[in-house]
Amino acid sequence: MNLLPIDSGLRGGVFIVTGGARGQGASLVRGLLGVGATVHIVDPLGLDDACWQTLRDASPDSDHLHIWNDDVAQPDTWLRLGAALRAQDQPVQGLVNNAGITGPRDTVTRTDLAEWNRVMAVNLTAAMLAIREIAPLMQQGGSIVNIGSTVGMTGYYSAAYSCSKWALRGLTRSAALELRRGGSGSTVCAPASWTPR
Amino acid sequence: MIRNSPPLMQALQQVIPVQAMAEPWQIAQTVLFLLGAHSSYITATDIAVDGGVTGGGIFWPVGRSVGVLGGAGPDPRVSTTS
Repeated sequence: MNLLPIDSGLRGGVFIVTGGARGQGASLVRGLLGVGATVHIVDPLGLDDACWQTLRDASPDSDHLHIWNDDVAQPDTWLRLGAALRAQDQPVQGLVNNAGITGPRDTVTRTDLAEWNRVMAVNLTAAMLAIREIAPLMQQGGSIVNIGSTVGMTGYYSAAYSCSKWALRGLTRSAALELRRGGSGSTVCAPASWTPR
Repeated sequence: MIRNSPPLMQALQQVIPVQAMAEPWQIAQTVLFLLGAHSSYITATDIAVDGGVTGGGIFWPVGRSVGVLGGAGPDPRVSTTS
């Protein structure tokens, strides 16, 4: 087989990016739009934020960019998105669980349970909910990428954040074993990317 | 966000072998690779996009601290004894 063009599997595909309004999520969304993909962003950032207009400007037309201004940790968000995609009979090529929050960076003995639960909900449970709903809409060769962290590979004083990113690597493996579709099921572990606005 | 904590930003850059924080597009490019057809045999794994942090382990800061890797300490490759 000849080597594939660099945009193979991207052009014309449908992708979902959580936390795609700004930062590295937005950078990814712009890259996908740039190769002719269709992107659904799930992000609760206020719609009056200038980030949204930047992304609209990067989209060749309104059909390529879909905004779901919702909480990724709510099951209903994924039920509605899944139903909409199913109704359009649009197979999904890729899902990127990029949304994440750091929480207050407290140590274990200073961890507030409500803060712990919120970090787990956004960083871990939301990814499970997304995969549960979206994986059945993916075809052979579809990809799921969960954005991890270096602190999901080592000890880190911020207990909730670190544990959520460790667990995300477990979710990656569980999903990959179940889905075995020949596409990526991977965690990207990055130390920190800073986000110019 | 880390950019809201200058001390953490500064401390992180000290322990990253490439001595710079990632720009958002540097992570995004890797994700594009994983989403596309070029990575069709990659699954159930982690891809470190970390400027060498996990690969270098503790020995980047150790090497800096003892001066072998250009840190502030004396370079043990150069004899200073007579």
